[in-house]
Amino acid sequence: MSEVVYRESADRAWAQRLPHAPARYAAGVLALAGLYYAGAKTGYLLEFSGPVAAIVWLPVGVGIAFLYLGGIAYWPGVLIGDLLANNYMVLPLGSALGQTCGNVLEVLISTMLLRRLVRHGSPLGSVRGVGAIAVSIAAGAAVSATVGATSLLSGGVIDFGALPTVWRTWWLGDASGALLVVPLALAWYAPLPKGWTRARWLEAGALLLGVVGLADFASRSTTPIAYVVFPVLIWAALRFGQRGATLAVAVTAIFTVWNVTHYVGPFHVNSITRSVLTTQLFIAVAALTTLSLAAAVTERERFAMRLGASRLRLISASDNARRRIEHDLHDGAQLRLTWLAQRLHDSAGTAHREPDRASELLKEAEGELQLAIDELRELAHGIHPAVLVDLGLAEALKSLALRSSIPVKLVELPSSRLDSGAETVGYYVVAEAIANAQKYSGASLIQVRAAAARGMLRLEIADDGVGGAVEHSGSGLEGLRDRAEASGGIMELVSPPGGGTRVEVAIPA
Amino acid sequence: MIRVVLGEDSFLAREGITRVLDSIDDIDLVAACGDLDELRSTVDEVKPDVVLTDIRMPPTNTDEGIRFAGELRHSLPEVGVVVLSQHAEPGYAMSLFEDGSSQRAYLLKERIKDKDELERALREVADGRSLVDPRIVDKLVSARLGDPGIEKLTPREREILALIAEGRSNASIAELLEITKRAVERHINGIFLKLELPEDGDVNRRVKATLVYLTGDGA
Repeated sequence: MSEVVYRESADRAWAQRLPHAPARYAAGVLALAGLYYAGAKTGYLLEFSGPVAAIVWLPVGVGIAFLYLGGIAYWPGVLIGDLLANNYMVLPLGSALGQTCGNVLEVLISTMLLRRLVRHGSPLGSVRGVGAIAVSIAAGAAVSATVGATSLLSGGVIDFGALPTVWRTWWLGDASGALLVVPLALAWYAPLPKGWTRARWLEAGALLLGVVGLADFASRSTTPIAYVVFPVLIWAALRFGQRGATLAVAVTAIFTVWNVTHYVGPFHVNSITRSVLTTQLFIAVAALTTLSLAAAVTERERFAMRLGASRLRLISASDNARRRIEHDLHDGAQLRLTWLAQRLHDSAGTAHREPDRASELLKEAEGELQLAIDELRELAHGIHPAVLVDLGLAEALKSLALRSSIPVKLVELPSSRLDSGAETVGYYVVAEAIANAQKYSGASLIQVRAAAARGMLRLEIADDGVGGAVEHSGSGLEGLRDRAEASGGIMELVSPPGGGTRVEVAIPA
Repeated sequence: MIRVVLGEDSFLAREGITRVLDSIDDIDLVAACGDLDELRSTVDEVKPDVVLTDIRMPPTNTDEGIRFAGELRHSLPEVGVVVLSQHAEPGYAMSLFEDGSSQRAYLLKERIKDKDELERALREVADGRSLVDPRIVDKLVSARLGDPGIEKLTPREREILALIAEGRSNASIAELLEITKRAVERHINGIFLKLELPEDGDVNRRVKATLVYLTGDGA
């Protein structure tokens, strides 16, 4: 499957960095202006002749995609491109400039809204993200349609009665144009995956043929069977993810618009406005459906990968725990007992020669034996704390607090017993967080809060140490998250450098 | 003569305890049982002065000893209980003292090698008093260093606080520290005042009060 992998931090850094070299910036602006202009010219090709707004207005999508991926600062490219693309022969200058203002605003609003709604990863990677794309584009298009239609009205290009139709056509045209281009650009922007097998290439070829054939056939046929393209769109989304979905939708849209503007196919009706409306709705519906499906597929794959990885980590965690127990037994109690056996052997000999000295040796041996007993007790407690099962989470946390080398303040404890599974998870979460704080935080106090309410056990472990904790692979914090999530809970880590570390976990109890 | 019934499922521990108790003249081990049901019926029948029991034994191997002590509080209130445990956890002692600490003792299992401690626990309980293993109290006190209440105490007062929590009587504290009973009382008044605990002449209630303070339950 062709999931688009965005490396979040790198991606974001590039998107937010202001262009530092003026030449580079100028090149970016010019490139955007050129792309925008080309998009507009392509749009004009796909239009009915006459003074009607475009069926799909592509440049808005070019603008949003460029600013989203490259940075908001390149916005003058949109302005230049739009000014170049205006047809000053048919429009009064005021209307043309008003329209351009609306278009620039539209691109800026949609881009900023999308950035605000989707803070992590690609918007195409989740159904929620696809929803965010739709909302951002719809909002931006509404601004452009309003400003544009008003400019045409005040320039006397249209009369007041035509305003609702122009507004609607404008809005749908901009929205469907953006819905085609923005996902296409986002999906194909990331580097291509390598290592396709022959079978995969063959399947991709067959899919492309299917899309082209069915899209052309459906948009040419005189019977209204536009829906026959959906099986291939679904195929594309299921098997080829975001790239497949966006490309298939784009191909379908091109054929549909081409044929309707050449007066054939199911969307061609006697009234041009109605032809435009049905075409726009078809494209918008096909795009949103296919993108949502592809997003759901991506989401599912991502969850499957995370689940697989966390299962592997759980297995290796249990292996590590066994290794540690072996090590503790071998280097601790076993060594002490060996030493003790030797001591007793010596004492036997000494008892024979100098009885006074022997009692001293035996006393020492007893002390050593007590240490071995203590070690074994701590080891047994570490393997599984009996107090947790016998007396519950509150007592077990008190016992943890007693063992900690950094003072632990138990701010709040559950007043009654909880589900035993939740108690166990809760205990290990706190134990792991305290162990982590002891190792890295340099804190002088750890505060622990455990409260059960409304079927949830909420835990908070906060220290006043150095902060800056990150969940890298194999860290205790990652194991902590695994534990919380494996039991259907959630975990949050707040650790600003210099500001202490706070771990919050909520698990069903 | 103190009549003792033993509840202990491990053969090794049973042998060890039997050997220790046999060496004490006025302690009579009347029966030894390997699980909770057997222990319950034997105690019902024999009505010993003290039950000496492991904390865990069949059927569930969790905290049978403590639960049985709770049962006895109602069924045979005159029978004392010494619980032997491998857990150095104050929580277990608190749960043993749930219905009052009189005639109850919580001792670490390794004490069975230590004839004096075991004997002292059995005698204290037979006399209606209570006892907590000093090692657990030490752990509690050292974990609470830094507590504002504990910080206010003098070293001598801390020492006496630990002895109170272990269940020692004023006379026994006086003897141990080689000071007068009067001085012990003065110290105890000072401690309770500083920790803002209600003053209590009753030794058993005061054991619980100090333990509650040390485990931080009152905070």
